[in-house]
Amino acid sequence: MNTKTSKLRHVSTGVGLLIGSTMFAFALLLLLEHIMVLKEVKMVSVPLVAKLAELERREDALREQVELSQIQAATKVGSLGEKLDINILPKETDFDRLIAAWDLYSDWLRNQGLVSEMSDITFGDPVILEEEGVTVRPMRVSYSAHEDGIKKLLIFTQLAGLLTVSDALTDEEIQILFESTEKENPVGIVALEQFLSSDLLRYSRDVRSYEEQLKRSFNSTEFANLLESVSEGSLLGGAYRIFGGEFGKTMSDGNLWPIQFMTLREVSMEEGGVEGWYRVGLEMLVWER
Amino acid sequence: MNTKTDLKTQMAIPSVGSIIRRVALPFLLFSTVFFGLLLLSYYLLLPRLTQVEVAGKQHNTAQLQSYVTDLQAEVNKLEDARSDFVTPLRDGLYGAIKKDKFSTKGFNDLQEQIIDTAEKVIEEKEEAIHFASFEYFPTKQIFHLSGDVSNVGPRSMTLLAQFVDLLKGMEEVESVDLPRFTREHSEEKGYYSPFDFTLHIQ
Repeated sequence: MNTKTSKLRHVSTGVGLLIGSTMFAFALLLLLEHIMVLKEVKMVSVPLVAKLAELERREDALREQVELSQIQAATKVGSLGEKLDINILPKETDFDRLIAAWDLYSDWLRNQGLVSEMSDITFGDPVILEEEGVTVRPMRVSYSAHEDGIKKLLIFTQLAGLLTVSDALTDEEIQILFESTEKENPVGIVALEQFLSSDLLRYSRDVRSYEEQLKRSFNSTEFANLLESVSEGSLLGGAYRIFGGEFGKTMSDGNLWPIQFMTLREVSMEEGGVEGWYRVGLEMLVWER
Repeated sequence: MNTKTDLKTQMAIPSVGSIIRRVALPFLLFSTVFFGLLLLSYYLLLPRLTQVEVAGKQHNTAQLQSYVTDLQAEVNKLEDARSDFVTPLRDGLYGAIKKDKFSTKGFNDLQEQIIDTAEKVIEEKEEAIHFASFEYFPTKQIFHLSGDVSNVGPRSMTLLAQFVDLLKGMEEVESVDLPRFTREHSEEKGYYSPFDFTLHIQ
């Protein structure tokens, strides 16, 4: 009887220990799981929650801006596309118009004492760019110019082919303005859209009124300062320094704006006889569709 | 006396078997309660503490991650839509060639950087590096320059080498076709080193 009781006690102790150990092992696994979950919350969820509020705010602002800009855009695209096809990337270059624009610009630089001599403008044979499906025509001209005149000649080649204010801004510069409207006044996208789609020549001739109109949609001086720094630091600055005066008026009156799209192929600069003056040669590519 | 001591020793040191027998039940009870509490915590307490309510729904970390990814994708889509409406001419052929035009390094910027680099070499002698010409081919990303190093006596060739080294270190310069390093002498200039070489722009 004693032996039987002792055997039973041994078995129950063994089973108790086995179940106890298994439970303990599972408990440790659960404890580990707790630690993992809490660590994940700290590393992932907390930063995500912080980001979430900003993303939701942006989504709401963007949704509102898209709805507003959609209405404005419908009327705009047609007229811009037409100008693009006729003047900027035409089927055939309008030589009279292009030469007149360069001639007037050279005259304007000459009147400012930045250019003294200009060569004939010559055009090379057109070359078909298979990849883009367009034709480019080389155009050459040379000047005797002051170093400031050379800078202005190069800015003019940069501006050739731009149509609106947004064309003179890089994607990054436009993004800065977008982000600012999201933060300050999402409805201001309508004013920004009108500003960006303004004709570059008209803007250059009346910078103050275009910028004031946009600033009215945003009360803070922060936006005003941002707009000022973007316009001054971008090609817009070059545009209003060139087209802001008499030359812009002549371009407008002579119906020479917008200028056909051009890119620079070669610049050569040799020292001239007088300090600060150089012989500069430009070869541009004039783009045709 | 000896029998008493042995008995005491036997009573003071219980056998391993008896220890296990005594501990088994409390260990079983402890493990069961411990496991039970952790199980309750895992299913009832932990979710309450770690889930986040977003848009009226509870989200755990994985769900939250996927929610944020979807939201980010939606924001990007809306940004693209806004750009399409606000600046419609940024796509297509016109957008592409305009982007190319903007991405090309400007002649004036490169020229100014080259002149600045020359000034670093010739701090004490302003007129030492003299440029005769610059040529820039933006589509080929080649910048050609010529001139000479003079007014520094027989050091002209060393200064030219320093100048080329500094040009190689410019962020915009990918490589330099090395010039011919030579020292010449003339009545007018004294010792001078002419240069005529090409920079490959990045």
